[in-house]
Amino acid sequence: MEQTMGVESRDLSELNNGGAASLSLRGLSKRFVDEHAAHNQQVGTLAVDNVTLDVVAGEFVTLLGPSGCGKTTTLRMIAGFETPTAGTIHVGDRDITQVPANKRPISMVFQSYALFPHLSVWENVAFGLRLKRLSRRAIGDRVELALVTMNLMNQGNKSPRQLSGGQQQRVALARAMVMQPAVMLFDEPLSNLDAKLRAQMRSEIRTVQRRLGTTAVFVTHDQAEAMTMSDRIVVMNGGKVAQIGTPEQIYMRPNSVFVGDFIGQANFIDVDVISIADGMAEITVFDELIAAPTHPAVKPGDKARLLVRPEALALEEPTDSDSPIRRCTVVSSTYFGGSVEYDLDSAVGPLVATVSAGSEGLMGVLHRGAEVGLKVRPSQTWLLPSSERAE
Amino acid sequence: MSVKTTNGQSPAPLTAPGPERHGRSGQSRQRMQVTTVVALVIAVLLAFSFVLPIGSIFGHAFSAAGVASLTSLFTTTYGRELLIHTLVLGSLVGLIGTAVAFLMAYVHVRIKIPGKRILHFLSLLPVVSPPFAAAMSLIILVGTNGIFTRTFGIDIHLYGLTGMTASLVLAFFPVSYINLIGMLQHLDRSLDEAALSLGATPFSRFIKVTLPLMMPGLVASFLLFFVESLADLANPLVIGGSYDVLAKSVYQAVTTTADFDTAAGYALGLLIPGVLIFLIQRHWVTKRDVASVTGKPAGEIEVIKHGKSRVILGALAYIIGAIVIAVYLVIFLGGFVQYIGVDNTFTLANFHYVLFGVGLQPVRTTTILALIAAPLATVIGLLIAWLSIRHLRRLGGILDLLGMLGIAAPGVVIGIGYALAFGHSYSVGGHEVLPILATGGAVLGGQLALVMIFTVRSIPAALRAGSSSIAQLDSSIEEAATDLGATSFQTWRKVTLPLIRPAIMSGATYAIARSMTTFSPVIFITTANLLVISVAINNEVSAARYGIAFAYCSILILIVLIAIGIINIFNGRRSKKTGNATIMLAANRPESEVL
Repeated sequence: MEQTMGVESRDLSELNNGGAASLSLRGLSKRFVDEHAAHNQQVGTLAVDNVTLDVVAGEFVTLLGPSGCGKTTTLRMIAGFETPTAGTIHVGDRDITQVPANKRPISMVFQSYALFPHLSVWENVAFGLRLKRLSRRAIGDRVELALVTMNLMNQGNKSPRQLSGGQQQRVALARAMVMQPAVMLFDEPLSNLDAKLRAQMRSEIRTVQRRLGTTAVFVTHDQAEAMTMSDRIVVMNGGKVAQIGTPEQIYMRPNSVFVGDFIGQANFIDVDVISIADGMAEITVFDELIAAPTHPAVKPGDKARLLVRPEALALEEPTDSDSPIRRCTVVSSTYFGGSVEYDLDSAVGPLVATVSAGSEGLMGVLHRGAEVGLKVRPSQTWLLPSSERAE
Repeated sequence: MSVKTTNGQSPAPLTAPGPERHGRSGQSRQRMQVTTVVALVIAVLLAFSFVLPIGSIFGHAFSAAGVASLTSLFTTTYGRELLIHTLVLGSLVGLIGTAVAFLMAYVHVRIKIPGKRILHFLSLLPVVSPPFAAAMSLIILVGTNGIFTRTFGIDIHLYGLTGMTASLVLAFFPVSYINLIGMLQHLDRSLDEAALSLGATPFSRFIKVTLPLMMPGLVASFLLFFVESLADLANPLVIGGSYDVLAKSVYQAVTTTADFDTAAGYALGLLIPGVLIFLIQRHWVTKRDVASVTGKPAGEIEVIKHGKSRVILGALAYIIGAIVIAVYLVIFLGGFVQYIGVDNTFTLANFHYVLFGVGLQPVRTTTILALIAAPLATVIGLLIAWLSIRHLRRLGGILDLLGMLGIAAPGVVIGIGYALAFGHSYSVGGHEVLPILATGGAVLGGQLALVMIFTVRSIPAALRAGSSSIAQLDSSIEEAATDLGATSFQTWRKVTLPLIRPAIMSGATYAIARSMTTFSPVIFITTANLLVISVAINNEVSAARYGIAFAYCSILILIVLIAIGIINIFNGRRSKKTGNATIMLAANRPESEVL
């Protein structure tokens, strides 16, 4: 096993003599002009609004957001399929904003794979190399290597239609990486696969990208994909960048209610801020004074919203001494094996709590109507300005 | 986007479309300019082929005599009769034709009976024959002195409305048949299953689910028959008797009195409804489509194997098949005898005349000109399709419309327009800028005008086949090629072209069939020295030399079948390698896209 790995990594370094490069977007905007109002540049939708992003060489960055947030348009501008209305795109030091798509050192893996149905797997992978007019031998070597890397050794002569979805995905990947691009783009490439294959391909893409050392920009609306694959995530909303950060930052320290709500499950509890010291705010939750880590924009005396992830809530046996505000009722429970998720009805409104099987506190699955006591783990919460303030 | 097909079927993309996809992809200015130039060149060519002829018709129609003939359609008894006759004929052919086409299509797709492949072949056969082949055959079979008429002593009074309806239905039902097959095959089976699971009986399911879903296709089929019978001149001449219709009046005005103004007036009376129906249908079909008929059939189509409906529908289909067999048997045998049904002496004289005698000229001319026009029409049609779908949405839409005019404008109208516009030369300041192109004294003996007519009449088929084929091509496939470093020309050559090759082939096939058999538009510009087969047949029929007419028919059918065979062999070898099922399916029914 060790030996195999060694061979593969040597091969891959050969494959990637193009070298990765950084990618930077400066004030990138795209306005789609309504065809019927072409004379008026102000009419139309601003699909991408002043996006600035620096991707370090070799980094894996994901553009994440709800559909229509501009992530795909941003990716298509990087690829060269859309012309930016404003802003620049640099690969390394080179400004490629005006470079046509076929001249960019960038390869894309398409959502639909976009394999050429009239060409064999081998010819698909060789397509770009042939256009480069490489020698027959060089093409053969590189295609072979790419196919081996993607575990497609004996599939070269097949037509793409004869392959399974996962194999087609691998061909698309091989076809892109064989070009030794400085940047690889992924447009929701896993959305057509079933759940199990998707998880497998996630790690495969990530492994290949790491070994090649290619810079990668990945577009998805699936937050699990974004969380598990990315070095950094760019959360987009309404054409704008909502937040850029590592998966942990995005999850634990979102900078707005939108991001907190979009990523993972979230409970928001409205609170009054009593005081703030050293990034910790004193607030009252369930009649209990707690100190919660806070976003710098929150000021003493503000109304703020406390983000409580489901796993930051602990359930306990209700005791008579509990104030009524801490008691709540189970509305429904969903058993996941490793954990149980509860929909709760509390004095502050509906809440979601996740209790993992191994955690302390209540054991067993509680059923509808059960009374429980609720406790917040302050260190796992995050105080955000109310959304009105944040906007 | 003008990719919706006439039968209301929406071409499904090969793969799920990505989000936020916008039609006009980022492209360099330079490429924009190239495509614009190509578009403009095509626009100018089409304008030259249409605007001048149609403009001439308007010019003559608004002369005193032209206006008089146009208004006479509403003011005089004879005019109103002409109009009513034309409408009655169109509606009858529309209704009966649609019924026949639907019957044959339904049997083909849904019912299991023996001999289905033969029925399918018989249903397609009329595509490759001239429009009046059926008329000639019916005259021999059930005409005043026909075989059946004499044998059974029953005269159905063929000449007139009866004969025209029958022969027009027989001549034009294949196109509608292919349309409806496509629709039936693409009906989502889960809808049927849903209806059944909700308690519908097979019959109520047919009435309440299948038929409503087919409505766009059935209406399209009705209009297709209507417009074709409006435009057809061959059948009124051969079998129309005293039942005068508009197309015939146009012809008579020209041939009996050489009164082009009157003819243009009548022609305008044909052109306006023809183009209107085309536009209405185009609009209507574009609007409603996707909702009912999905591109992806879910599962196998259920085939009826038992029951009363199978027996009844099967029997009806066999009857239609038998009629087609009888008609074509007469055509085939008719060439080998003196006068079939009257003097059945075997002779090879007819074929000798057609293949080695005076009759060879039309065969040679038609074949050569059709072979020139077919690639031209295919290339122009595909270019229009490509431009209007991928590049120039608005200008492309206009181009698409211009391209389709070749089918929207009735053949008689195009013919008279060509005679008027290109029958004389144009001079500016004493210098001849455009020589005579059509009729006597024209350059190249008028062959140029024939090629132009063949081409504009064939463009629509290539255009529709190309449109559906290109629309089905996920644009990300072309983007992938660009992404891998291909220039737009390389993308076109290495990806787009191979993938739409089946559409090209079928477009060319149809162009050849259409050019070889066309009659109404060319009769006005052919001369004794420059005949085409269909006009030659008409001349023989007028002179009651049926033997020679049938020999021409057989030779014509043979040539078209050989051309189709060659293309299919070539295409088959390719498609084994290419073989994208979806694309093939769409491309193999080019006529279906044509109104």
